[in-house]
Amino acid sequence: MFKPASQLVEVRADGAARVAHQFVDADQQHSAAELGMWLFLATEIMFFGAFFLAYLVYREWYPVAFAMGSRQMDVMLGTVNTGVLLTSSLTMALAVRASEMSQRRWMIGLLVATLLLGMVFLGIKGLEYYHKYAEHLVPFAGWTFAPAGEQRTGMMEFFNLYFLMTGLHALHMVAGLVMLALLVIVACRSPLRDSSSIVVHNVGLYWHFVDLVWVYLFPFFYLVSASGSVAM
Amino acid sequence: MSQIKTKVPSLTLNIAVYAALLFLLAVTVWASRTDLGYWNFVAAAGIASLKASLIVLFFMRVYYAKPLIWLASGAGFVWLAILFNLVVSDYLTRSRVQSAPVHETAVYEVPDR
Repeated sequence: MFKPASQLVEVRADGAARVAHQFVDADQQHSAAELGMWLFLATEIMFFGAFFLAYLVYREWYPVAFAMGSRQMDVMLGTVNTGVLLTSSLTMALAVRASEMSQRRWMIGLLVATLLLGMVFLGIKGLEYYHKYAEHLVPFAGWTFAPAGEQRTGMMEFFNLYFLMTGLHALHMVAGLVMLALLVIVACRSPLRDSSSIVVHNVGLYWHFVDLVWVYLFPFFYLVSASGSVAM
Repeated sequence: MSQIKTKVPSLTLNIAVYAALLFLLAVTVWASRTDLGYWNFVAAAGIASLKASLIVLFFMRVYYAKPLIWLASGAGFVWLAILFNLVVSDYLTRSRVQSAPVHETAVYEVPDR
Protein backbone atom coordinates (compact mmCIF):
# COMPACT_ATOMS: atom_id res chain seq x y z
CA MET A 1 0.00 0.00 0.00
CA PHE A 2 3.06 2.23 0.12
CA LYS A 3 2.90 5.20 -2.14
CA PRO A 4 5.60 7.81 -2.51
CA ALA A 5 4.78 10.90 -0.54
CA SER A 6 4.90 13.08 -3.61
CA GLN A 7 1.81 11.37 -4.96
CA LEU A 8 -0.15 11.86 -1.79
CA VAL A 9 0.70 15.46 -1.08
CA GLU A 10 -1.95 17.26 -2.99
CA VAL A 11 -0.95 20.62 -4.34
CA ARG A 12 -3.51 22.73 -6.08
CA ALA A 13 -2.60 24.15 -9.47
CA ASP A 14 -1.93 27.56 -7.99
CA GLY A 15 0.05 25.97 -5.16
CA ALA A 16 -2.42 27.29 -2.61
CA ALA A 17 -3.58 24.25 -0.65
CA ARG A 18 -1.44 21.51 0.77
CA VAL A 19 -2.77 18.54 2.66
CA ALA A 20 -0.27 16.39 4.53
CA HIS A 21 -0.35 12.79 3.28
CA GLN A 22 -1.87 11.29 6.44
CA PHE A 23 -5.10 13.25 5.97
CA VAL A 24 -8.02 12.54 3.65
CA ASP A 25 -8.71 16.18 2.92
CA ALA A 26 -8.14 19.72 4.13
CA ASP A 27 -11.21 19.58 6.32
CA GLN A 28 -9.86 16.60 8.26
CA GLN A 29 -6.46 18.23 8.59
CA HIS A 30 -8.17 21.34 9.93
CA SER A 31 -10.10 19.32 12.54
CA ALA A 32 -7.00 17.42 13.64
CA ALA A 33 -5.05 20.64 14.19
CA GLU A 34 -7.91 22.18 16.16
CA LEU A 35 -8.31 19.04 18.27
CA GLY A 36 -4.59 19.04 19.08
CA MET A 37 -4.74 22.65 20.20
CA TRP A 38 -7.72 21.95 22.47
CA LEU A 39 -5.95 18.98 24.06
CA PHE A 40 -3.01 21.29 24.80
CA LEU A 41 -5.40 23.88 26.21
CA ALA A 42 -6.99 21.20 28.43
CA THR A 43 -3.58 20.70 30.08
CA GLU A 44 -3.29 24.48 30.44
CA ILE A 45 -6.75 24.67 32.03
CA MET A 46 -5.67 22.14 34.66
CA PHE A 47 -2.30 23.86 35.14
CA PHE A 48 -3.90 27.21 35.97
CA GLY A 49 -6.83 25.46 37.69
CA ALA A 50 -4.50 24.10 40.38
CA PHE A 51 -3.40 27.64 41.25
CA PHE A 52 -7.00 28.83 41.41
CA LEU A 53 -7.73 25.96 43.77
CA ALA A 54 -4.78 26.99 45.97
CA TYR A 55 -6.17 30.53 45.95
CA LEU A 56 -9.58 29.28 47.08
CA VAL A 57 -8.18 27.22 49.93
CA TYR A 58 -5.89 30.01 51.22
CA ARG A 59 -8.77 32.44 50.91
CA GLU A 60 -10.84 30.22 53.15
CA TRP A 61 -7.96 30.05 55.64
CA TYR A 62 -7.15 33.78 55.66
CA PRO A 63 -10.35 35.65 54.71
CA VAL A 64 -9.41 38.89 56.51
CA ALA A 65 -5.86 39.00 55.17
CA PHE A 66 -7.11 38.32 51.64
CA ALA A 67 -9.60 41.19 51.96
CA MET A 68 -6.78 43.44 53.20
CA GLY A 69 -4.66 42.27 50.28
CA SER A 70 -7.27 42.99 47.63
CA ARG A 71 -7.74 46.47 49.08
CA GLN A 72 -4.10 47.19 48.15
CA MET A 73 -4.89 46.54 44.48
CA ASP A 74 -5.29 49.31 41.93
CA VAL A 75 -8.82 48.56 40.67
CA MET A 76 -8.61 51.35 38.07
CA LEU A 77 -5.49 49.95 36.39
CA GLY A 78 -6.90 46.42 36.67
CA THR A 79 -10.16 47.42 34.99
CA VAL A 80 -8.36 49.27 32.19
CA ASN A 81 -6.09 46.26 31.67
CA THR A 82 -9.08 43.89 31.50
CA GLY A 83 -10.61 46.18 28.87
CA VAL A 84 -7.34 46.17 26.91
CA LEU A 85 -7.18 42.37 26.97
CA LEU A 86 -10.84 41.94 25.98
CA THR A 87 -10.26 44.34 23.07
CA SER A 88 -7.22 42.30 22.00
CA SER A 89 -9.45 39.22 21.99
CA LEU A 90 -11.86 41.00 19.64
CA THR A 91 -9.05 41.99 17.25
CA MET A 92 -7.73 38.42 17.41
CA ALA A 93 -11.18 36.96 16.61
CA LEU A 94 -11.49 39.39 13.69
CA ALA A 95 -7.98 38.46 12.49
CA VAL A 96 -9.03 34.79 12.36
CA ARG A 97 -12.15 35.83 10.45
CA ALA A 98 -10.05 37.86 8.00
CA SER A 99 -7.69 34.93 7.43
CA GLU A 100 -10.66 32.68 6.61
CA MET A 101 -11.98 35.24 4.15
CA SER A 102 -8.48 35.56 2.60
CA GLN A 103 -8.25 39.24 3.51
CA ARG A 104 -4.51 39.28 4.02
CA ARG A 105 -4.05 43.00 4.68
CA TRP A 106 -6.86 43.07 7.23
CA MET A 107 -5.47 39.99 8.89
CA ILE A 108 -1.98 41.49 9.24
CA GLY A 109 -3.41 44.78 10.53
CA LEU A 110 -5.58 43.03 13.12
CA LEU A 111 -2.72 40.77 14.23
CA VAL A 112 -0.50 43.84 14.72
CA ALA A 113 -3.33 45.49 16.70
CA THR A 114 -3.57 42.39 18.92
CA LEU A 115 0.20 42.44 19.37
CA LEU A 116 0.19 46.11 20.38
CA LEU A 117 -2.72 45.66 22.80
CA GLY A 118 -0.90 42.71 24.37
CA MET A 119 2.16 44.91 24.85
CA VAL A 120 0.02 47.65 26.42
CA PHE A 121 -1.36 45.05 28.85
CA LEU A 122 2.14 43.93 29.84
CA GLY A 123 3.23 47.56 30.21
CA ILE A 124 0.38 48.34 32.61
CA LYS A 125 1.06 45.08 34.46
CA GLY A 126 4.73 46.07 34.80
CA LEU A 127 3.68 49.47 36.15
CA GLU A 128 1.47 47.76 38.74
CA TYR A 129 4.33 45.45 39.76
CA TYR A 130 6.54 48.52 40.17
CA HIS A 131 3.91 50.20 42.36
CA LYS A 132 3.68 47.09 44.53
CA TYR A 133 7.49 47.05 44.83
CA ALA A 134 7.52 50.74 45.80
CA GLU A 135 4.84 50.02 48.42
CA HIS A 136 6.96 47.16 49.84
CA LEU A 137 4.29 44.60 49.00
CA VAL A 138 6.54 42.09 47.26
CA PRO A 139 7.16 39.06 49.50
CA PHE A 140 10.86 38.26 49.95
CA ALA A 141 11.84 41.49 48.14
CA GLY A 142 11.66 44.44 50.47
CA TRP A 143 8.43 43.35 52.17
CA THR A 144 7.70 45.61 55.12
CA PHE A 145 3.91 45.63 54.98
CA ALA A 146 2.18 44.17 58.05
CA PRO A 147 5.54 43.25 59.61
CA ALA A 148 4.38 41.56 62.77
CA GLY A 149 0.58 41.58 62.82
CA GLU A 150 -1.42 38.40 62.91
CA GLN A 151 -2.43 38.94 59.28
CA ARG A 152 1.19 38.88 58.08
CA THR A 153 1.21 35.25 56.91
CA GLY A 154 -2.11 35.60 55.12
CA MET A 155 -1.13 38.86 53.44
CA MET A 156 2.15 37.36 52.24
CA GLU A 157 0.24 34.36 50.95
CA PHE A 158 -2.11 36.66 49.06
CA PHE A 159 0.77 38.49 47.41
CA ASN A 160 2.70 35.26 46.76
CA LEU A 161 -0.30 33.93 44.86
CA TYR A 162 -0.85 37.30 43.16
CA PHE A 163 2.69 37.47 41.79
CA LEU A 164 2.82 33.76 40.97
CA MET A 165 -0.49 33.66 39.10
CA THR A 166 -0.28 37.02 37.31
CA GLY A 167 3.41 36.30 36.59
CA LEU A 168 2.59 32.95 34.97
CA HIS A 169 -0.22 34.67 33.08
CA ALA A 170 2.24 37.34 31.88
CA LEU A 171 4.67 34.60 30.73
CA HIS A 172 1.85 33.09 28.70
CA MET A 173 1.20 36.54 27.23
CA VAL A 174 4.85 36.80 26.20
CA ALA A 175 4.62 33.39 24.49
CA GLY A 176 1.46 34.57 22.72
CA LEU A 177 3.17 37.79 21.60
CA VAL A 178 6.07 35.77 20.12
CA MET A 179 3.58 33.63 18.16
CA LEU A 180 1.72 36.72 16.95
CA ALA A 181 4.99 38.34 15.84
CA LEU A 182 5.94 35.17 13.90
CA LEU A 183 2.51 35.10 12.22
CA VAL A 184 2.89 38.73 11.16
CA ILE A 185 6.39 38.11 9.77
CA VAL A 186 5.29 35.00 7.81
CA ALA A 187 2.11 36.71 6.56
CA CYS A 188 4.11 39.71 5.32
CA ARG A 189 6.51 37.49 3.37
CA SER A 190 4.23 34.92 1.76
CA PRO A 191 0.67 34.74 0.42
CA LEU A 192 -2.12 33.13 2.42
CA ARG A 193 -2.81 29.45 1.89
CA ASP A 194 -5.94 27.47 2.66
CA SER A 195 -4.08 26.01 5.63
CA SER A 196 -3.07 29.45 6.94
CA SER A 197 -6.41 30.06 8.60
CA ILE A 198 -6.04 27.04 10.91
CA VAL A 199 -2.66 28.32 12.12
CA VAL A 200 -4.15 31.74 12.83
CA HIS A 201 -7.18 30.06 14.45
CA ASN A 202 -4.94 27.98 16.75
CA VAL A 203 -2.87 31.00 17.82
CA GLY A 204 -6.22 32.71 18.37
CA LEU A 205 -7.39 29.86 20.60
CA TYR A 206 -4.25 30.27 22.69
CA TRP A 207 -4.69 34.04 22.89
CA HIS A 208 -8.34 33.73 23.97
CA PHE A 209 -7.32 31.17 26.59
CA VAL A 210 -4.86 33.66 28.08
CA ASP A 211 -7.72 36.18 28.13
CA LEU A 212 -9.91 33.56 29.84
CA VAL A 213 -7.40 33.15 32.68
CA TRP A 214 -7.31 36.91 33.22
CA VAL A 215 -11.13 37.05 33.29
CA TYR A 216 -10.90 35.01 36.52
CA LEU A 217 -7.69 36.56 37.89
CA PHE A 218 -9.10 40.08 37.76
CA PRO A 219 -12.16 39.65 40.05
CA PHE A 220 -10.40 37.19 42.39
CA PHE A 221 -7.46 39.48 43.15
CA TYR A 222 -8.85 42.97 42.55
CA LEU A 223 -12.53 42.88 43.32
CA VAL A 224 -13.55 40.20 45.81
CA SER A 225 -13.84 41.75 49.29
CA ALA A 226 -12.57 45.04 47.87
CA SER A 227 -15.22 46.74 49.98
CA GLY A 228 -17.57 46.10 52.87
CA SER A 229 -17.50 43.27 55.36
CA VAL A 230 -15.63 40.02 55.09
CA ALA A 231 -17.79 36.96 55.03
CA MET A 232 -16.41 33.71 53.74
CA MET B 1 -9.61 19.49 -3.86
CA SER B 2 -11.87 19.99 -0.91
CA GLN B 3 -12.21 23.38 0.60
CA ILE B 4 -12.16 23.92 4.34
CA LYS B 5 -15.74 24.28 5.45
CA THR B 6 -16.12 26.56 8.43
CA LYS B 7 -18.89 28.82 9.54
CA VAL B 8 -17.50 32.30 9.91
CA PRO B 9 -19.20 34.32 12.66
CA SER B 10 -20.39 37.67 11.39
CA LEU B 11 -18.73 40.96 12.23
CA THR B 12 -21.88 42.04 14.07
CA LEU B 13 -21.79 38.96 16.29
CA ASN B 14 -18.12 39.52 17.17
CA ILE B 15 -18.80 43.12 18.13
CA ALA B 16 -21.94 42.16 20.08
CA VAL B 17 -19.93 39.61 22.10
CA TYR B 18 -17.25 42.25 22.73
CA ALA B 19 -19.87 44.76 23.89
CA ALA B 20 -21.41 42.15 26.20
CA LEU B 21 -17.95 41.43 27.67
CA LEU B 22 -17.33 45.12 28.37
CA PHE B 23 -20.81 45.44 29.88
CA LEU B 24 -20.15 42.47 32.19
CA LEU B 25 -16.78 44.02 33.15
CA ALA B 26 -18.61 47.17 34.24
CA VAL B 27 -21.20 45.10 36.13
CA THR B 28 -18.56 43.11 38.01
CA VAL B 29 -16.68 46.27 39.06
CA TRP B 30 -19.96 47.86 40.13
CA ALA B 31 -20.99 44.72 42.07
CA SER B 32 -17.68 44.71 43.95
CA ARG B 33 -18.43 48.20 45.30
CA THR B 34 -21.66 46.98 46.85
CA ASP B 35 -21.45 45.09 50.11
CA LEU B 36 -23.18 41.77 49.47
CA GLY B 37 -21.27 39.79 52.08
CA TYR B 38 -20.68 36.23 50.93
CA TRP B 39 -22.56 36.95 47.70
CA ASN B 40 -19.77 39.29 46.54
CA PHE B 41 -17.66 36.23 45.83
CA VAL B 42 -20.53 34.38 44.17
CA ALA B 43 -21.31 37.42 41.98
CA ALA B 44 -17.65 37.86 40.96
CA ALA B 45 -17.21 34.17 40.13
CA GLY B 46 -20.58 33.99 38.35
CA ILE B 47 -19.95 37.02 36.15
CA ALA B 48 -16.43 35.75 35.37
CA SER B 49 -17.92 32.43 34.27
CA LEU B 50 -20.46 34.21 32.10
CA LYS B 51 -17.64 36.16 30.42
CA ALA B 52 -15.58 32.97 30.07
CA SER B 53 -18.55 31.21 28.41
CA LEU B 54 -18.94 34.01 25.87
CA ILE B 55 -15.23 33.85 25.04
CA VAL B 56 -15.17 30.05 24.72
CA LEU B 57 -18.40 29.77 22.71
CA PHE B 58 -17.98 32.68 20.30
CA PHE B 59 -14.38 33.93 20.23
CA MET B 60 -13.00 30.39 20.46
CA ARG B 61 -15.80 29.18 18.16
CA VAL B 62 -16.80 26.14 20.21
CA TYR B 63 -20.45 26.98 19.50
CA TYR B 64 -19.84 26.32 15.79
CA ALA B 65 -17.40 23.46 16.26
CA LYS B 66 -17.82 19.75 15.67
CA PRO B 67 -18.93 17.44 18.54
CA LEU B 68 -15.33 16.26 18.85
CA ILE B 69 -14.20 19.79 19.73
CA TRP B 70 -17.08 20.15 22.20
CA LEU B 71 -15.80 17.00 23.90
CA ALA B 72 -12.12 18.02 23.87
CA SER B 73 -12.79 21.55 25.11
CA GLY B 74 -15.21 20.31 27.76
CA ALA B 75 -12.80 17.65 29.04
CA GLY B 76 -10.38 20.13 30.62
CA PHE B 77 -13.18 21.91 32.46
CA VAL B 78 -14.83 18.65 33.57
CA TRP B 79 -11.60 17.33 35.11
CA LEU B 80 -11.05 20.70 36.76
CA ALA B 81 -14.58 20.53 38.18
CA ILE B 82 -13.81 17.10 39.70
CA LEU B 83 -10.64 18.47 41.32
CA PHE B 84 -12.48 21.50 42.70
CA ASN B 85 -15.42 19.44 43.91
CA LEU B 86 -13.33 17.00 45.90
CA VAL B 87 -11.00 19.58 47.45
CA VAL B 88 -13.58 22.26 48.13
CA SER B 89 -16.04 19.83 49.71
CA ASP B 90 -13.30 19.21 52.28
CA TYR B 91 -11.62 22.57 52.91
CA LEU B 92 -14.59 24.89 52.52
CA THR B 93 -16.76 22.88 54.88
CA ARG B 94 -14.27 22.36 57.72
CA SER B 95 -15.31 25.48 59.59
CA ARG B 96 -18.96 24.49 59.21
CA VAL B 97 -18.56 21.08 60.80
CA GLN B 98 -18.17 21.47 64.54
CA SER B 99 -16.25 18.31 65.28
CA ALA B 100 -13.73 18.81 62.49
CA PRO B 101 -10.48 20.60 63.34
CA VAL B 102 -10.35 24.12 61.92
CA HIS B 103 -7.06 25.19 60.45
CA GLU B 104 -6.63 28.31 62.55
CA THR B 105 -7.28 26.53 65.83
CA ALA B 106 -4.91 23.68 65.07
CA VAL B 107 -1.89 25.19 66.82
CA TYR B 108 0.64 22.77 68.13
CA GLU B 109 3.01 23.75 70.90
CA VAL B 110 6.63 22.86 70.21
CA PRO B 111 8.39 22.44 73.56
CA ASP B 112 11.84 23.97 74.04
CA ARG B 113 14.60 21.50 74.63
